[in-house]
Amino acid sequence: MLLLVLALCAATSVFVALRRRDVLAVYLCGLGVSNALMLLGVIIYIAQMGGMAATEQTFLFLLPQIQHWLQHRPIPMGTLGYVVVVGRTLFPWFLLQVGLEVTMIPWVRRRMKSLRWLSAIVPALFLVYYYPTVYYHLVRGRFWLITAMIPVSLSWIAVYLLAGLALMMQEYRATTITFFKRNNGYILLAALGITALYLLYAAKDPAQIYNLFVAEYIRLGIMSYIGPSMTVVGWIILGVCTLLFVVLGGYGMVRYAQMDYAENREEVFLQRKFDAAGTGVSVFVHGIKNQLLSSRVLHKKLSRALEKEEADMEEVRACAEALRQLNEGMLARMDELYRTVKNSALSLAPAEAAQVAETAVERFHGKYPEVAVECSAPPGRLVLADPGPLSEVLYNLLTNGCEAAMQAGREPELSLTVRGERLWTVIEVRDNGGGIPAELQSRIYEPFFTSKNTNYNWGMGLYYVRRIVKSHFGRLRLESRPGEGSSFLIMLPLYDAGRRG
Amino acid sequence: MNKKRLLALLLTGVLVLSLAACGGGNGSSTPAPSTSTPSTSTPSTPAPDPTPSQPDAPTYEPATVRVAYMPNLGSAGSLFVGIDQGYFAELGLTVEVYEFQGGPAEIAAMASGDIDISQIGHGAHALCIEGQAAIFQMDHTTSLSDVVVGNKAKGINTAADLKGKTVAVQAGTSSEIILQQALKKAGLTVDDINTVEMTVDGMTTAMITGQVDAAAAWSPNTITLQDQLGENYVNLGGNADFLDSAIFPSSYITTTKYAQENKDILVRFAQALNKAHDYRLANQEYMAKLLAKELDAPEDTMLRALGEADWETITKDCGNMDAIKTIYETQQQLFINNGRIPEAVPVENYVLFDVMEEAYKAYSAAK
Repeated sequence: MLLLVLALCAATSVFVALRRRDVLAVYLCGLGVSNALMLLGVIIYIAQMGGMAATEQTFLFLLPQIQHWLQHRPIPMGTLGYVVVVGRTLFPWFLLQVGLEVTMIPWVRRRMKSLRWLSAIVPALFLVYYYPTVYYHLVRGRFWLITAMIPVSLSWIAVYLLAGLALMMQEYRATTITFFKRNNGYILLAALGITALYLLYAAKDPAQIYNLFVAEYIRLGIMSYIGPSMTVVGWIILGVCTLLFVVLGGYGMVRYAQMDYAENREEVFLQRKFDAAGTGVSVFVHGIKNQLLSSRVLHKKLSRALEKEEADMEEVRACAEALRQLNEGMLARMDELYRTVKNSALSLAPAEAAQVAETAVERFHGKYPEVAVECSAPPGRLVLADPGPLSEVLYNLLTNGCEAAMQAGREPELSLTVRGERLWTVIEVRDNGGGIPAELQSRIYEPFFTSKNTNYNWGMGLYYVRRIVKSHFGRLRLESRPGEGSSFLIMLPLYDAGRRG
Repeated sequence: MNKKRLLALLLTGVLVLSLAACGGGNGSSTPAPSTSTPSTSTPSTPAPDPTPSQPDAPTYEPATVRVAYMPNLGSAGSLFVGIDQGYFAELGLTVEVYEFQGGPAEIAAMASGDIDISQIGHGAHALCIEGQAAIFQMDHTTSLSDVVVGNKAKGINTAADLKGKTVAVQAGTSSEIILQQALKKAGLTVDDINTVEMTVDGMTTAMITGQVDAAAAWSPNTITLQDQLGENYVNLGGNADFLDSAIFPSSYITTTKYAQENKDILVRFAQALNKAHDYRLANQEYMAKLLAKELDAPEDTMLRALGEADWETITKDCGNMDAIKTIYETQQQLFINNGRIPEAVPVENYVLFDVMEEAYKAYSAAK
């Protein structure tokens, strides 16, 4: 069974590495592969040395034929043992690297490079110590070294594992944004699952596989990999736990990989949508044409009225007013579309987040002067932004929120909050509208998508918002509960003024 | 959030359970009932039972023993015959068997409390001399199963040709001793060859595929090699070549602790073995077929391996403690000569003659 587990681990690792092509995925893949190496070595060793109970045989190999096949593999014990050593040594290092990669503790991040190098020293030394030829010459005649090095080896492994897991747990606890918390949760889950598997055999000294100092190993009472004395219940518990760990770890890794994949896929999807927006443009042209036709009708009406000897001034004024409104409407819609499709470069510079928020609220009050916005933005927090488009984004979100609350028949309650969160500055726009149903949440960023029934809306608002946020190297997340309101979170990379100097 | 907390709690619980389960390998837990216990059905050839159990036989306190063996006639013969013929059962013993590929691994498992009794070949006796285990019954006086096999296609015709060649060996086993003896006879040492540590099954495959030039193997793998290498098979030295100055007994051993606490069980176990030795001698072909079935090995190979030990002498000398002592002393001298053991140790320190004698008397009385 453990062999199947190994196959599952390897497949998951490769899946993650292929789906997410980032550093973290490489470390997670390393974690899976090093664990698989160690377990594979141990399984082959046990297959070759024998001594297992039937339950253990099933736990390890599932079928006796698999054990018999492995038993006859002509693998030198030195090679087999060193494979186990490599897996056992690299796993804690990879786990620590995962921890270092996810942590947002400023002190750690500032020293990331040095910490990575420093953490490689101890595993490298142990890889040299355990190299069969080196080990043989070092230990021969100095058997005290075996007993001395085993606890040292276990200690550094324990320290690395605890440090890696602690960093991941700390990050998980410290994160409040749902998206990041979930992301970290999956990584933590994967790490915990794989680590539990690793612990099955990690405590045992892999040098015993070399079979170099058999008598000393027995005399010193060093734990053997072969131990058939566990009860049937023990094996069953272990089997169930192993499966659980693999499922949890695998689930965590797959979900982690898919989150990014889903986001990328959404990106591609939206791009495709926008490419297909020729359709949207034709709709727009068709709409404008209709309005121009309306305009022509009004013009004709106006001409007819003016051709009379005594023009009906009431009719003329009505026509002129209708023409004016038609004209204003077309201009506004042209502006909106132009703003959305134009590929203007942003000019990013340090800007006061509070100032941006204030501008957005002022603009919002230009449209809805009677609606209050609870604005909480601590002064002094800088973001790298183009204040114009960014405040436009916030204005858009506030307007959407306000209209959503009105549509839901409620008195709008809007809030705009700026706060720090790990390595991000988060600007949150919250409303008390009707919320966005789950089935629509994936569609709201699509160009030309709108749920509002109005002549003044072309469904380009949130597409524009998302594009501008992305241009700021930020992320846009939506947290919404139907019936309770929505929160849009704009996460901009933390601007560290101190580091710039 | 609640779901996540539940998950965290579940994970913690599972982790604790798992670690508790992993910690069970230190020998304090109860033994796992092994389904590898040989089937009780009779093999294809009906077996005569020379000494059927007496109807008024004394009753014994039931006990279960976990016994390690190696999958060859010399190691597993008496054990499986004893189980098959019910010799252990009639003395109140339930035997759980565990297959190992070498004596040192058996002793390691015994030391950690996973195994109660092991059947070992000559090589692992060195560990008994060093005090790692105690012998309570001799299984046969000398093994004839170990052979250093060379491949003629690799330019090896005699032991002297091994110089600079790659030789597969499993440390601590009898065949390693035979390899040392063969090299010594050819004026070489282990430093003159490239040794590769491998299990006997691994080295058999390595020999067949040409990955190594020679191998210190044992029966029945030597028979497989003979078949596979054909004319390229060459015997560079075996137990029989050194019997003028050495002897290679195999024995049943246990830990000192187990011996102190379970002398009664050991006596009963040895008594059943004495009976199995007689049966083994009288029904060799049946034994080979039985083991072929139990060890999932080709019957023909097992029948051809019948010459891999001296089955007879032990049946004559099992009550002669002086003869037994001499055999173990001669064996120890071999270890001293090749430097494996630094100085002589009194045989009484690691051989439980009292158990052996008591078992023999009980068996004789029952007969």
